[in-house]
Amino acid sequence: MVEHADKKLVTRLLQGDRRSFDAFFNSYFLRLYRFALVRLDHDHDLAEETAQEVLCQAISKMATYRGEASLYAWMCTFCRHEIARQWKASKRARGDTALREDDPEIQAALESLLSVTSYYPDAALHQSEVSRLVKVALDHLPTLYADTLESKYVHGLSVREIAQRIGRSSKAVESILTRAREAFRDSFRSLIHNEQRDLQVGQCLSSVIE
Amino acid sequence: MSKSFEKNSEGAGDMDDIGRLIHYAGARETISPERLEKARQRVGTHWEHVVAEQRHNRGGTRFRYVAVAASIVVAVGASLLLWRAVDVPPAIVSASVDRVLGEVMLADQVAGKGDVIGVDTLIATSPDSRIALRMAGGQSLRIDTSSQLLLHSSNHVSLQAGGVYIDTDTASNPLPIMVSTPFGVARDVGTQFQVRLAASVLMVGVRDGVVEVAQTGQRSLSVNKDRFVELDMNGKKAERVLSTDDPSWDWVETVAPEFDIQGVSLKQYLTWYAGQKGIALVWADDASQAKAEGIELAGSIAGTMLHEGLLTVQQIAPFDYRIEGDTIWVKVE
Repeated sequence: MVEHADKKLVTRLLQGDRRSFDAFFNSYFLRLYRFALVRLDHDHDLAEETAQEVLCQAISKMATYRGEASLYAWMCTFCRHEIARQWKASKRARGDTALREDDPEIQAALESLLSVTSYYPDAALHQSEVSRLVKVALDHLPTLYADTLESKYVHGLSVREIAQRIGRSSKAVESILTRAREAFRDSFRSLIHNEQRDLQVGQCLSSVIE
Repeated sequence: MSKSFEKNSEGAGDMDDIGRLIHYAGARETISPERLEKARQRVGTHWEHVVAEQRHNRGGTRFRYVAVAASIVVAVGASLLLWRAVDVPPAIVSASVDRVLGEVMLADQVAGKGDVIGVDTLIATSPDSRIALRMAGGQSLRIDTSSQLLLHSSNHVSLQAGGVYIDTDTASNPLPIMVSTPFGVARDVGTQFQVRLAASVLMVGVRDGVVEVAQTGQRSLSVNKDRFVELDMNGKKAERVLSTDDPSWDWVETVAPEFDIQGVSLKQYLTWYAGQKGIALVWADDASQAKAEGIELAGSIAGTMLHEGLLTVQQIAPFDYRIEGDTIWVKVE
């Protein structure tokens, strides 16, 4: 999917626009950090270093970005290379760091944000996995959407408080929340839907999505 | 501090399935604002470098392109083309070493020509060593004897002892360089200048352009071309004229970056020479300038001092010169 906004951001970054750099960093650093964190045994320092390295790599190669995938998905490719390099460099036995969302089909699904069935998360047994997938789904949304959802539903801020925090009107925040919820629903359903293709996980999650 | 969701002014009843799901998952992992800021600075430095490099490549001088590109190649241990390869992570480069006289330490490593210097590197010269750096943005930075300088990024350094000379004329689109000292911060406005720390004073000398000095609790001070000021914690103490041929500039020439004359025109070389001396290049006549443009030099002046290099070039190219004050007059036969 061509990400027009991403291409515009890249163009401005390459022109040396400082505000675009800040937007770029704010949008992607923590997402890549979290992406690396779960794949590096929750080594926070290493994940931080990896996120920095990946942003630097992406900046160096930014002129080659064509917009065929979202900027985030494009950088996740670098992140996977970097994580593999970290494992190799540390000479540690590599555990199975391939996560479900690393599956190409699931990546594609997240990319296109397909809509599928409904879900009801209630399986305590899979609490940590569902939590992780929710966070993965949030990280695949535009930063504004994800942050707004988190502000409201995790930190419990009111619409008015969010509006003050991000400098928008309450009406605008309500609109953002509506769109963010839709985007999240699509993203998460895609993730869960594709989980079903994995027999083991499919069985585990059947209670979640039925 | 997060508020309890139930205390949300919209109320728990406002929470739909998606809200419950996100609430249930909890906050995503994050890092402290301090660490986030540090990461931003590091990535930002690399971004500045890439942008400067691109500008350089678009309209740049071949000499500068090669100099900076070479440092990157050293950094990644690959060819210029491999610099674009996916699996090779670039170092966060602030500068590369142009020239070293004596033993200079880059953190705990002895500096060598072509070495790449990352952010947050402490550079220390001994009583008999000096070093010239090429910053990622193309600027030239030279460190005098008995100095200590911390390289924060490609456009921010802290002088802890000794003296530093900065020439931003060498960069095509330079970002301003800031020199932090215990007495204040000096920032260039497109210039050649030096900053020196003594026991209780900061000295700023400007050979070309303007330097702004900001001190806590003091009004910002502009130091103009050919001026020298001394400051302490309370502001300006003294000011005097500083001519281009003042002896305080002499050390700068001793560690001038080397110039590869192979294949460049006499005009290019003389322009560079005048820039290094901080003097104006004036042609005796139009014909001299035209001829200088057409004369291609060959060979090498590596390892020579600035003036020795000029004398060497004069042996292979037909020109006369004389230096008067802040001007070099050149006549090409």
